[in-house]
Amino acid sequence: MRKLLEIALGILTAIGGFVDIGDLVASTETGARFGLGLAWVLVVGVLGIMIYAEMAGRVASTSGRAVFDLVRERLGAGVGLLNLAASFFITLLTLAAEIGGVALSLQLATSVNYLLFVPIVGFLVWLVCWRVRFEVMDNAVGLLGLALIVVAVAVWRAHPDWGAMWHSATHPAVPATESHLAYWYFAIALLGSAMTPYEVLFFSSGAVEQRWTRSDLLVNRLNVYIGFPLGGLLALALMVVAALVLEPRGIDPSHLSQAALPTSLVLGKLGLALALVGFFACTSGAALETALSCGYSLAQYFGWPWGKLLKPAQAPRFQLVVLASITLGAGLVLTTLDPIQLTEYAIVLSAAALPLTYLPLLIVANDPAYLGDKVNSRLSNAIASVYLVVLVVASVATIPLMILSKAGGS
Amino acid sequence: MARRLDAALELLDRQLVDADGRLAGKVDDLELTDPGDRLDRPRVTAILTGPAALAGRLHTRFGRWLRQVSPRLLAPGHDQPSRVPLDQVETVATDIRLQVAADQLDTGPGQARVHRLVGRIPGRAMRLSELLGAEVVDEHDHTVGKVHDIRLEQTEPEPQDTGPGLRVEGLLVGRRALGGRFGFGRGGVRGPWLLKLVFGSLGHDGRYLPWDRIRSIHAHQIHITGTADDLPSPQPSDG
Amino acid sequence: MSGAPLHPRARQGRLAVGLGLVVLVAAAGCTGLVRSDPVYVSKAATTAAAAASAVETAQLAVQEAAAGKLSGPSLAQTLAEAASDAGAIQATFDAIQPPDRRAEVLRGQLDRLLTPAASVLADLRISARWGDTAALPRLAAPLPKLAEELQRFQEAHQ
Repeated sequence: MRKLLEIALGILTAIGGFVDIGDLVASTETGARFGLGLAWVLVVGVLGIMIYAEMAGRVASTSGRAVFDLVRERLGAGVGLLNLAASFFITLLTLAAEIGGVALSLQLATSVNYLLFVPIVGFLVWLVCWRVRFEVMDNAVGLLGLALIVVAVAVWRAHPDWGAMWHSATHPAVPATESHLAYWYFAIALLGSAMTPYEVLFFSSGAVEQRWTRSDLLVNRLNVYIGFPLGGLLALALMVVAALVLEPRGIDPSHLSQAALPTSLVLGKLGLALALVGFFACTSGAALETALSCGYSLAQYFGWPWGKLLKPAQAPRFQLVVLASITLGAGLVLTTLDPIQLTEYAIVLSAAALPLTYLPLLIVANDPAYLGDKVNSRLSNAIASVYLVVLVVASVATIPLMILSKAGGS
Repeated sequence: MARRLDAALELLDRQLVDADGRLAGKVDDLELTDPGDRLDRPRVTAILTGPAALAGRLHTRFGRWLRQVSPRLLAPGHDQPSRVPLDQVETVATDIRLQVAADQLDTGPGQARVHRLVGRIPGRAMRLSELLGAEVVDEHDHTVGKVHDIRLEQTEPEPQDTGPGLRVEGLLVGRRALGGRFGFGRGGVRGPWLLKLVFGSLGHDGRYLPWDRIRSIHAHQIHITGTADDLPSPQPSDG
Repeated sequence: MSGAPLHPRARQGRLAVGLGLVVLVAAAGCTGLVRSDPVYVSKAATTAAAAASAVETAQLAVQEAAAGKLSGPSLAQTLAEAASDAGAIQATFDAIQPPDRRAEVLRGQLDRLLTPAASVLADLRISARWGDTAALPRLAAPLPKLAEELQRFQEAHQ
């Protein structure tokens, strides 16, 4: 019974913790501009993150080592450093975007300027990373993030034409008002938002921190195979609701307030309140995860002691890196750069760096020295390899598309 | 009972774990002591760790910057790398377990001075990173390739010190090495078929250079006796 | 031409022809026989689309407010953002120098839509901040027509 509760908690936090500011922005914007024409990308992205997250969890459970830890071992100091630099920079950018997202959610709820919230948010993120126990933190934000289910409810209550929706999702087309370049640019951005690099980093480090072992492999698989798709459904719901309400009106969302309009239209004030709680929870959860991930990546490369479970005195450099990252991230938001713009850059650059994150993981997951008999099966290798090819193609195409489509500008 | 190890593949960049199970850095470099005696091959005498050691591995502008900055930024007072004598190593496996606790390990300026005063093993000390990537030139001045790895032999420890005895057997030389470094072929990674195809074709076309064939090592160049053609193919390591 | 001075009537006739030519050339410039800069036209179209988006956002927000679905800080924030968007869109567009006569005409046409849009959205923002939700539908009355015209403008110049 206790085990069952544990599993249920794990799945629920996986669902609630799936969406972050990147998914929020990408799903809403693509829904408003392309209807359901990019829904297939979301499916591809969720499947991809499922496969690689399971791999990361398996690596952590069987070898007791986190992914980034093993990246340097496998790739060497030089290539590992390149990986670290790219990973750290992008995670830092994402952290800034998440802090911005939390501040924007608070602004939407209170009408107080978001910049005033940024230092408070930064301080609280740091405090939680410093003081609060890992499980408490993970579970609290994960469960709170379940409030986003209200968006799925809004889809259902809007009584859309399911047949037409299914048709437009399965027959993707570029709307007349959009260019093909913009379509593919947003496809890559959406992929980057679903397969965020820090996800794997955090997931595997968390597994090591909680001392997962082989006996936890099943729990890991359940969390990933049930939790992630359901979380992905929430991202899809955001896209659908934008397609139903924003697209017909020609509204191109560039503010969080526009992302909340569809839910309040269908479900009124209660729906809005829950959506705001959901936005707040998923962005704060992601802010915590990205802050810790900055620390994990640097500490694991240099071999320093790391982890939230260690007392701060035992892992001083790790905590210092976390603090410095939060400060830099908050600082970036305080330059009054638009947080939504910042998010778009973060997800697009994430997409460009995806192969760097997933290639080492794939190699490590095939190494019997670390995984023994739990190395990848031929099937998972086959699927993962296909994904890697797709990611390399997407990565190479990112910058040219960004330039040619003027960053997707309409 | 000798066991063959490839230093870059199996020792470098591994995690150091102290006696209490705490993380204590990575193996950033290895200190080799060359007795200079033709009959006695160099031994690994210490593990080097810390930014100063890592900087030596990175032959780039970042490495040079790191070397300048690290004493001030990351390891105050340490302009020498932290040195873990090999007799403090308990086991060598996927991670390196030490016999001491991390706080007893660290070398500050004090330790370095002690090291200079007390019992230095006779011979010339050099770093593994000085050998890696060095150009190998035969007696006709033809370039054989670059050093990818150093083959070590793990023997019973000498009577005068504890800890594993690691002796240099020879060097692995070739033109390309990416695949091997990633573990394909040498490392036992059976890998996805696609990656094996891509990296396998980049795998090293290596030759094995026994230590006694080396005539001189100078400024990242190694001159050997004989020619490239009489170098054998390498045997796989014992992982 | 003879060297003799022109009869006053002949001089008048020449003047008339000259004037007629000037008028013809001017008319040609105004009516687009000269092609206008496509970059500017495209910018005008995207500006209209963005403005339409802001107007539609405000309209939706007011509609929800009237139905009691949206109120308080969130309503105020939504309208404030729509208003600042409209202002920024117009300011950015007006800062671009029209490259030729026809572009200037186009700019005039668009400004005749942007200015009232920005003004209405500003009024809405102010009312919402005061909490005067009841006044919103009345203030928002010109919005549907403005949205339609902006969208028509965009489609015409895409």
